Amino acid sequence: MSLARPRLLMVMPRQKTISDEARNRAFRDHVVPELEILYRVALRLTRNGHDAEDLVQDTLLRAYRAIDRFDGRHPRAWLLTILRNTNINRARKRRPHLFDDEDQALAAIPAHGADGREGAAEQALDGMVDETIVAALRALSGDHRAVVILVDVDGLSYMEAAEILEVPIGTIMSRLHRARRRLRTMLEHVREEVHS
Amino acid sequence: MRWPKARRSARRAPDCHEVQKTLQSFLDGELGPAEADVVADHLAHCVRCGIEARVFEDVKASLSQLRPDLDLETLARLQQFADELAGS
Repeated sequence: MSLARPRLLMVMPRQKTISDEARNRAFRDHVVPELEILYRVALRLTRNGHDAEDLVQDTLLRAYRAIDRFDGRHPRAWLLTILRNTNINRARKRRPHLFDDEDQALAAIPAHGADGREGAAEQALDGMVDETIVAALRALSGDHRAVVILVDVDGLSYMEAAEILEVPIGTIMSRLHRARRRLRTMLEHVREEVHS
Repeated sequence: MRWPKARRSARRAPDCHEVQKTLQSFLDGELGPAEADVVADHLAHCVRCGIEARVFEDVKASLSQLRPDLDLETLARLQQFADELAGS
């Protein structure tokens, strides 16, 4: 009933508020340190630098408004939940496409690892291993690849990856562990070939 | 009922099978301190599990090298946006 909504709003208790100073301090303490990981995950979700920046800005605004309802525990997981929900709202009419296309999902992953290793032989070996890892990542199912990318590449915890992917932590663990065993097998084959 | 001495001892020191079940969580820093100590102690004394742990550490290290560099200008803009929100 359309009339029920305003009546319900009238009897709702006033939203708890905190002083601007306390809000600003909580925001600086809990949110600002997580900027980089928010941007990193936003890039995974949007696969586009401009969209990722907009998504993080929207997330920061929502977090700022909601910080008086944050209990102070696991700020990164809390922020990633806001990020995920904000992204869903922004793209409501599009089907969520997180990691469902393997080429795009890996688009942000360089073919080779970071430079700076000493020794041409080591560099050659690193290059082969990196190429093998990327090939192995591509060979994983989308669900398994998403967990490996979020935890092992981007450095999220199990809980944080679970928030982004909306699955239980136990599912994160089983997917991750199975995927790593497969990656290990592929890497071992490459190393045996190099050293034989 | 009291556990036989050998059984009580086994409960304090997990066998390889038990360690293998928690090894990944240990390497990811997802175990509590007491449980992590037990696994670390086992890895220090068990050659087979120690090798297994190093292999998975290598896999994790290789994967972490695939982390893309972020655009620093964008990060700076986001930092400024956050600073302005927080009134600083």
